[in-house]
Amino acid sequence: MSTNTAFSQQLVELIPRLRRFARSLTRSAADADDLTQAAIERALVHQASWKPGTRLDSWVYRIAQNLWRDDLRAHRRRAEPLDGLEVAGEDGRDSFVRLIEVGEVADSFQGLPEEQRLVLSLVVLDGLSYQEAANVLEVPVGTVMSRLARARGRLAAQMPASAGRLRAAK
Amino acid sequence: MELNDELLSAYLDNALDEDQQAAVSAALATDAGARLRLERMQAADRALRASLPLPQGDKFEAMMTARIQMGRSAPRWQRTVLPWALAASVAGLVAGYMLPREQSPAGLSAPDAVLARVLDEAPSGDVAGQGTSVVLSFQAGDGRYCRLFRAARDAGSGEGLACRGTAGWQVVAWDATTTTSTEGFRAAGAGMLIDGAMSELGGRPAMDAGEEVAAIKRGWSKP
Repeated sequence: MSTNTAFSQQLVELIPRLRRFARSLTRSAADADDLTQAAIERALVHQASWKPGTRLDSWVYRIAQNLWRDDLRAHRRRAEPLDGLEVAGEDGRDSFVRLIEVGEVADSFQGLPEEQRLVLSLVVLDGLSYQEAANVLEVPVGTVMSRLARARGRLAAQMPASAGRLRAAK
Repeated sequence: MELNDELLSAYLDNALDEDQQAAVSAALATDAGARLRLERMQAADRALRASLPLPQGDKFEAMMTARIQMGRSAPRWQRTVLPWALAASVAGLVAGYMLPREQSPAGLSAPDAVLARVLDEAPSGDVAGQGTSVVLSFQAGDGRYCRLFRAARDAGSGEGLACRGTAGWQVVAWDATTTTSTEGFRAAGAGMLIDGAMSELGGRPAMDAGEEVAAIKRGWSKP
């Protein structure tokens, strides 16, 4: 497989995760897709500066962050809230509790500072290690830990009071 | 050991070293408040994952996929059409786009067996077909299904457009100059022929993966 083909395949596979990362960053589905497209264009143009064998996702996420900082935020067109309240494939027993939790947490997430949304997105949603998240955000690992703790602390505090106990009782 | 949020959060991610993980486990056993805090953090994680599902399987993803497969230098029409294609519907009919004879490689104006099979059966982006692959599909202004493909033949390699009429697939445009060189650059003006043919065909934006699979299953007859 040529380097170009490997690059293209990985980039194609990254599209859904890149869009979700962009949604965490922009808090708008429309802005997120604009940002995703711009990041893909830039990645294609600068393909030669990506080192095969290193993580493509980290590299493209950094591109997206830089684009958002430098340019797109100033020209954002829309600010529709995300509507991500699709609770997928649960067993139904506690779907009502889940629905409340999801709604609460979605609102709380939107209210977090950008740096906390991003670290949650990378670690909790994408499953990156602290070191990998630190590479994307270009901060020390300790900063990732403390941002994550603050972000989780705020989300946990805003969860319905019953959430922890119901789960503990199961 | 005082179990603060930073310790609990790192414990949740299994990010502490072995001794610390064990120490937190032991401390949790006697600290009901911290246990509840940890459970709420876990519940928040689960709810966050449910509230931001992966966006996928839609038209935007199909277009981005097609864009990536075009490589670093997309033809003009795609650069202008891509993000706004969802809403745009360019009017226009074509009554037989004529190929400049010298740009039509032997055997391609009527597709050969490999190309015909790829056009019939291959989803866009599938790279299996002996140097022949489809980049995207769309419905032309006159209702015909058309597919933008890439092919390598003895006569040269490049991009072409094929549309399916009553007599099957017909190559309506072929441009050997669109092939990306080994350096990854294209000659100036590359892709112009395909650009022209695309805009003459008019029609709707690129089909998404689901629409394409459905059309393949129908043998490209109208729904």
